[in-house]
Amino acid sequence: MKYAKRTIHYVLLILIALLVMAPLLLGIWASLLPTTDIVAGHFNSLNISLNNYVAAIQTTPVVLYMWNSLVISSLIMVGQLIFCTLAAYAFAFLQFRFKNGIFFAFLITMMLPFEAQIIPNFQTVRALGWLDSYPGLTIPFFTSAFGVFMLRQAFLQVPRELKEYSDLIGLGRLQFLTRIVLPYTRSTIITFVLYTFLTHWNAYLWPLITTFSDAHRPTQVGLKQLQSEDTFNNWGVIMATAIMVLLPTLLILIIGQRYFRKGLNAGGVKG
Amino acid sequence: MAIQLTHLTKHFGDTPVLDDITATINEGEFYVLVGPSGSGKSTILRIIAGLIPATSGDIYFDDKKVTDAAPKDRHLAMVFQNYALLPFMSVAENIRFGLHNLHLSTADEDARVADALQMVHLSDLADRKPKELSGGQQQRVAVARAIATQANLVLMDEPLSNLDAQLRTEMREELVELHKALKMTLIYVTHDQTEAMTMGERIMVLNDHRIQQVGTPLELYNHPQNAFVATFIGSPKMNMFTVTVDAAAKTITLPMVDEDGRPALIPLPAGIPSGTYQLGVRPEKVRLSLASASEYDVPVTVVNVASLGRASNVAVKNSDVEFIADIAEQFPEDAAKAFVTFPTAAADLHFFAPDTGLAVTSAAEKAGVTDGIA
Amino acid sequence: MVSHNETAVPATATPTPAKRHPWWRSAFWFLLPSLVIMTVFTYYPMVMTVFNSLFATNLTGAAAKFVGFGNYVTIFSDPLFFKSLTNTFIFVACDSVGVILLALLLARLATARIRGAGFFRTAFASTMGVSAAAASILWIFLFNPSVGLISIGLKQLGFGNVNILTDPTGAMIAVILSSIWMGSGFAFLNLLGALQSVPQDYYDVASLAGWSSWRQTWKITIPMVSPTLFFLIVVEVIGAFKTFTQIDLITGGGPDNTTNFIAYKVYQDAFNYRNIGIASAEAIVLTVIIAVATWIQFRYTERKVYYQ
Ligand SMILES: Nc1ncnc2c1ncn2[C@@H]1O[C@H](COP(=O)(O)OP(=O)(O)O)[C@@H](O)[C@H]1O
Ligand SMILES: [Mg+2]
Repeated sequence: MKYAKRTIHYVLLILIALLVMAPLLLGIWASLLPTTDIVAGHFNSLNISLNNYVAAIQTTPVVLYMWNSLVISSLIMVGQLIFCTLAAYAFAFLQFRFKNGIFFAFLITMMLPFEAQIIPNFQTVRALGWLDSYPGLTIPFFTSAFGVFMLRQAFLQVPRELKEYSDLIGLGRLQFLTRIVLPYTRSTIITFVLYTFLTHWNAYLWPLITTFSDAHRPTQVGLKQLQSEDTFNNWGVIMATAIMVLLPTLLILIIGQRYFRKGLNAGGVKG
Repeated sequence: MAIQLTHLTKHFGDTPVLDDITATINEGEFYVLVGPSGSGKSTILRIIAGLIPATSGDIYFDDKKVTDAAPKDRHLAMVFQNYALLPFMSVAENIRFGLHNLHLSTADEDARVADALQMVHLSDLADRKPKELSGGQQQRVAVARAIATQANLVLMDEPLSNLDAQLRTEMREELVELHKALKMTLIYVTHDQTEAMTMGERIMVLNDHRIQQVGTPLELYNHPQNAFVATFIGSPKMNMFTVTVDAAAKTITLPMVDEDGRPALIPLPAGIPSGTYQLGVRPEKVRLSLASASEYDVPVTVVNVASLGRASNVAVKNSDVEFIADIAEQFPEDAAKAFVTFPTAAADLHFFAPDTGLAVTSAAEKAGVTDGIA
Repeated sequence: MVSHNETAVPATATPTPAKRHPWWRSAFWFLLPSLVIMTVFTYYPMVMTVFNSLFATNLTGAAAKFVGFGNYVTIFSDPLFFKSLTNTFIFVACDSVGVILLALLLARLATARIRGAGFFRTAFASTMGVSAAAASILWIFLFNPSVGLISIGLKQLGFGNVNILTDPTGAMIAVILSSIWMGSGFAFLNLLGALQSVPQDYYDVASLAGWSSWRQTWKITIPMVSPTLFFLIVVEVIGAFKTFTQIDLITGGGPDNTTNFIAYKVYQDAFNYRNIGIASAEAIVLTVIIAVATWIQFRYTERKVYYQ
């Protein structure tokens, strides 16, 4: 009885896992097949090779796109880590006038959808001469209310005695932050950093309207570019680029899974 | 280093937390602050450390005024109740990190860390992380971190309160020995009067934002200056009765009845004017017997016998007044009735004014008391 | 005995004497970087969007003529906007419900204490690591009338040669399906975290009392994870209202504007038709919807966090 139940459970797990993974697995499989086989509907073909990847790298700018995404996501990640940490530190550890008011002003930006700000932002970035450039793709995202909030929550968990202790042994503010607070809250910091990277690697709308050339175009918009170009029917190559683009974030997710499980739940996310 | 506190007060917003705290702590003294939770002990400690500012009043280290000095310039060490160890550093790193401000050479730091670890018997665990240690071991690390700084003044805020009873007793002794060896000035906060009595050279009793009394353990025990100190110090607690004194007849009327149902009387030693008082009698001064031996004995019913083997705490009752007799012998656990003999010596009868709670002492006794509230 | 120092109290309560600076000398510098960014890229554009929504704008996007609520009147009397709004709501409802149900099922299956559970957890979470754009490509491939396995499967089931993406209902279903797939990983991970923090004792007691596993689910699991569930519903709803990438890549809003959801319509009106005034008014409608949803979330789930 117990054995039967367990078997059913496994069968269910495997079936559903296959179903959930199907789009991804099929995509990976197709990326290994020659386009001729795909078009002919020969999915059971065994002609697998990495030729599509080689072709993607040689004939499309996908590597450049990925490099752009890496630069953009990393810059935003570092920017947010610094800017959000500083603000969260002030809200968690400092006393100042209008603290509640300013905190509220930060929080309220979580209510305002970025989609409603793109038109003026586009105009601002154009006026700054930042269209189709790294600054235009990164600087608007150097802070996030969500990040400030999440880090503040973590910082508030730092026992007050650690602040007192750091005063006793003569640590300055910045030292307290870097040598005690950040290591103490490092699991939240890691979650935050991974999440920021993931979010901005996957960003679509903003790069769509502000990049016009391959020089600064990041991966997600690059996918649209490739899909709408002459390669349109070369399914093998298209799938290979899509897999290349999703691989870094998939790896981050697999490695950082446990952080997301704990961290996101506690803070409450998704921007 | 001697510490002087002069007229310290502290308010959090409109809430008064400390009121006119004046005290002197001698060089090398093991000085205990004791009082119920919320009485302001930690606040005093944090003001001494400079972690929070006093609302008014001053602090002197030796003769130097440090009221406005930053915590790091006060060169003291502190042990926190939750130990405040850095979880991401090993034991040795924690101790070394505490030397941050002293600008020692690496060799000196190594030596300090090793010495401190040896002193708390943790040399073997130097590379462990705090969470890999037991509560008692973490507590030792916190102490080691403090003594490694070789500060002349060490503050401890309820350092043992997170430990289980047996470990606490062990650690008490270790701390006392450590203090004997190092001879630093040690200000120790606890809410546990037993801890205060067994460890402190002198004790400040705090309650209600104020100093209630300062003295050696025996001074507090034998000459409590008010009803609060009388009941707070000592275990089991001092028995308190509302009594009337007739100075002319030299009698004290207890709130109990004798065997004939008349108000129970006991003899008045001397020097107390007529009136109503709170009378305090330590449980161990209450004698208990199964048969009446004197006309002043009070009949009681036995409510509960707590046998400790070498002694017994017997809860007894007369006319709804329940109190404790702590006798140094075994008492039949099934006894239902007994007789109580109250002490007659002036030193064993503590009178307190019913309104102020202040001790009322005869002139002769007063002369013997030296240390007291301002 | 509870005194203040036994709990993690923010050190804010007690600034040290040596550290009391005038406000403009201390906290100010910590906040300045974020405040500058937010002012330029959040507050200012928000104000400008409100401002633009009250004007008829020319093709360069400059406000040309004050029209008051004219743009709002225009969009609400435009059947296309209405259609967009209705379809958005249909999409949001189907997507959120679908994501939550799928995630619940996955989480329930994955919390079983069996060998290999870790592998299945990773499998279920994997969609969170797939960007909306990459996911769209994967699904386009599945829906493709000639090579897509879904289309081929439908044909073999006797539906004939269907092009899902050119059929209004089919396109909507396609967008919903792919969106549920994309959202399930995130929701799953959150629910998993919540499920795992339900103490095992509860289930042990219930099992001793002879409760069926369904009863345990309804009486223990659901109530215990309800805060997370509520959080997820709101997050999914907000996310669904902002759906853009799938639309742009899979359907382009079509066919016949069936999948032209509000965020996509804002984009089209602004960047394809250069009608900034109208797009701004639509953006404000979107903002109001999102703000209400977020407010509900703050109000009911985060209270304990904000006012500790
Ligand atoms: N930061 C603070 N803000 C407001 N009240 C406080 C603060 N710190 C302590 N108190 C109050 O001051 C009183 C004394 O606290 P404390 O010194 O911690 O007492 P103890 O250490 O004797 O238990 C308590 O009533 C406490 O609630
Ligand atoms: Mg305390």
